[in-house]
Amino acid sequence: MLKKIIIASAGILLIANTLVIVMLYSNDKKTGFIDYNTVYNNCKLKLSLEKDLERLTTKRKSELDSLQLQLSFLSQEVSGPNSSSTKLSEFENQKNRFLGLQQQYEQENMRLKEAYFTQIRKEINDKSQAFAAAKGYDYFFAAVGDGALMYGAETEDVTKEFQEYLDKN
Amino acid sequence: MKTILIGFIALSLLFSCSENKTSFANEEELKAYVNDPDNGFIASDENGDFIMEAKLIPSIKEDKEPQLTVQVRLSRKDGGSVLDFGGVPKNEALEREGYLSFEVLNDVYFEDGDQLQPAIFHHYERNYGLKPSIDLFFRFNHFSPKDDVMFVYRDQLFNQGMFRIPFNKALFTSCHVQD
Repeated sequence: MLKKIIIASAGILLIANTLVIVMLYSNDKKTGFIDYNTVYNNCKLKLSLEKDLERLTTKRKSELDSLQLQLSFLSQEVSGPNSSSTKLSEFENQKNRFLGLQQQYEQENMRLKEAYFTQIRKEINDKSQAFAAAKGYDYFFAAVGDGALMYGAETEDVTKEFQEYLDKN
Repeated sequence: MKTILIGFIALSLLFSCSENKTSFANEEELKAYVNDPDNGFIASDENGDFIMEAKLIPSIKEDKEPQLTVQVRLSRKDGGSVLDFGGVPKNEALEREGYLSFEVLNDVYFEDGDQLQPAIFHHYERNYGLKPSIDLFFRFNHFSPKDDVMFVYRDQLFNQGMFRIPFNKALFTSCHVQD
């Protein structure tokens, strides 16, 4: 009789244990996070766009420098004793062209910088969704140091893995 | 011995399949080959609200100065008119056409490793509002890249960022056209 009770109790315990394990397992959500700033600063796209922007701004700067040099020569001629109204008018035209171009390039550089920033941000956002879906994450966070994610265990940090995914795809 | 022979045949087949066709009976055959999307000459990139499609046309060996051509089509994801993007007034749309006709050349290049291959000539095809997309042609001096090459369009007109389309280095081999 005692033996039967023991066997029955063991059976019930086993079933209860299995149920608990199944419940725990089904509630176990896979989470991960990345250090957004690290990903942003090291991603290939950013480095490539930065290089292009630098190339373009340098080209524009040298164009402006050349114009400025021409202007300074003209300025000396205009302020000299042999100055004429034609020279003065040429100087004024050149000056206006220089100022116009300077303003145009400043605005265009700024606009391009913003467009590139948006492009990088979109790329990271799109790829992080694809990465999380491909790796089966239920929640995928980005630590940006603004209080959105105050702490994440090192084991959940997949920054390196995501960085590789981002640059490869 | 048999294994070596099979391996050799398999390898030869693999290389013959991966190699690009570079000899054509006439221009029509070359056109058909380039227009087949499976051959890698047509590729696209999406950025923001725009899609850019590019078709690489290889240089012809027999030409005095072999040149590569890239045909570009820029369209909006929502199917709207590219020139009117952002609901700009007519005069601004015309200014955009001015940029596309005379200045866009400075914003297009091939990235060949650390070297840039600038476009030497371009043509903007005005369509007078008959279709929403726009078409551009760019010419480049022939070059033989060591690695795969990136076709780059830096979009300063619609603020969509940078479009980058990779092309296999094998596609840059000059083609021989008999007729």
